[in-house]
Amino acid sequence: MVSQLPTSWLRCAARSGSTELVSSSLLAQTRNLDLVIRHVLAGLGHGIHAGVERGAGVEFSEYRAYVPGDEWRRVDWKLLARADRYYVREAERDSHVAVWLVLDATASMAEPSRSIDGLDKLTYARTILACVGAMAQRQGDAFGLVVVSDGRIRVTPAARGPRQLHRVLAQLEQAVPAGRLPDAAALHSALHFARSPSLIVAASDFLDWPSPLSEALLRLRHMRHDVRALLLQTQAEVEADFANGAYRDPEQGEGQFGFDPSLQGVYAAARDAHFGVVKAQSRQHDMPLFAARIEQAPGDVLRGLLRQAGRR
Amino acid sequence: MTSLWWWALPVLLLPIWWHRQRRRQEQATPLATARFLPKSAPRRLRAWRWVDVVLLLLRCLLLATLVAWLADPVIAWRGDTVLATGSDRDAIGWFRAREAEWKPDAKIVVTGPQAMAATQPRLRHQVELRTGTPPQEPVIRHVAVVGGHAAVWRAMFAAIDGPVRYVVDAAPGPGSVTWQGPATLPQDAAAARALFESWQRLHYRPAPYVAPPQVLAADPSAPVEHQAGALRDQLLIALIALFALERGLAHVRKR
Repeated sequence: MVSQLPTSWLRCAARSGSTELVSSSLLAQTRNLDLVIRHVLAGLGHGIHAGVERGAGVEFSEYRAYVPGDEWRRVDWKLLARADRYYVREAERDSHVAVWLVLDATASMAEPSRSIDGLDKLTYARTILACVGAMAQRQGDAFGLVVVSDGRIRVTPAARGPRQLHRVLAQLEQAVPAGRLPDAAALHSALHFARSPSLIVAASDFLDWPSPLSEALLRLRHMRHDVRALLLQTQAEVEADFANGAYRDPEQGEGQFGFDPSLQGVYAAARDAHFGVVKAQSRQHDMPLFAARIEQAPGDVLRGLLRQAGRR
Repeated sequence: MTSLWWWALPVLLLPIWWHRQRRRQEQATPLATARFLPKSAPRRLRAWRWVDVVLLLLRCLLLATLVAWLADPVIAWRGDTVLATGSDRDAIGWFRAREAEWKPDAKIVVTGPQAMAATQPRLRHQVELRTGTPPQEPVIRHVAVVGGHAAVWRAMFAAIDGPVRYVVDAAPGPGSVTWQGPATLPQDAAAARALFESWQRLHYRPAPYVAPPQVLAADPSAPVEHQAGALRDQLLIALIALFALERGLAHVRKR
């Protein structure tokens, strides 16, 4: 299986930043995704190779009106002289890779980090997906966003350019953790990128498996899309280190669960069994699954997520 | 208990239910991976803190006061009463407007002059009127006689005897009423009296007729006048005080 990730993405992933500019604790302090992206990618994507996909291709396609952010060299000066308006030459692109960002914004994604105040899984997932979107925009690829939350699906269609990045960031910032996953039929109709090969990056806690989301991702994988899953966990979850007391499941309604140190083994066993199945099925379907703790620096996680392309 | 607002009293169950619900929720913290833990039976609720109990009582009391304020109740608390009135007071009318404040078996005695009502008042309580004859104070009225036969008319005014006396002034002044008799004198006493009485009706208000002493029997079917706002102010003050206390305590509990 040949990866459809553009070569420039690999280069950027291979470039290991020596200093991490953004840590998770800083992530908890700001809501400004634009700022976070700039800092995360500063340690990661500096000197990204422009690639043949960027800019106009050889085959002319159409003219479109200039929007702020377009490159000046793509403006058609002869047409400017005739029409006294800025037009940009659009061309058939060499690369047809569309990047789809899938954000799980169900209630369980509100799980906070027990060591860093103000940081939760959704904030972290939002940051990683925003960085992937920003990289796609720098590469000149089309990218879109799918947010699943409270039984509903919100799709931002794939497009290119800086405006698309702002649209996607706005949608990411609006996502609120609520409810449960939508049903399989709804996800089936929303996630059908059959037309072109796509890169799909899905961020979730994958606590429901099999779930409509997992089935949709595996189905996309079978359709030869490059699907990669980011499994988000907290340090406390990994170490089974919770305060004693009663807990409830945010997605499964009634019922209480007690915790004390004697239950650490039971918890770890059940958790390992669940994620063992998740990892085994991902491997079986050739879908890379990258497990990350939200206390890790986002730059490291992003690098790890993208690097997996090289291994395949 | 006549107002429909009293049916709103079951809202008192609301704070009780809310307190119960809140304590149950306070116990369990949301945890995404709770499903990997064994289910536990909900533990017995912890002991109430005193502030919880007081807060619950305050909230119930607040709602009850609010309902009472809306229902506008009247409490029957007055017993047997003697009402002493001046000459211009309508004690029966005053009593009827506040009748709900008296206990059902209370007896009322009204002393002093009491204007006679056009119809016999219907009251739920037995009311005894002890209206002795009022102390007669002589009333002096000033008259100025103009026109013909002045001497005759002066003599007539001087002859009038009784509680009202007339003083004939030499000339019309601000405090005197003018008497102008007809050109020809009346032929008999009846005509003169008619003339004098019509002049009196024209210039002076009629003297009130004092009700004779009597006992007005209690009429259980008498309509009760709705008395608005008897306890409104007190209830409003209580409402504000309770609200302030409730907010203060809620703040204390949060800290």
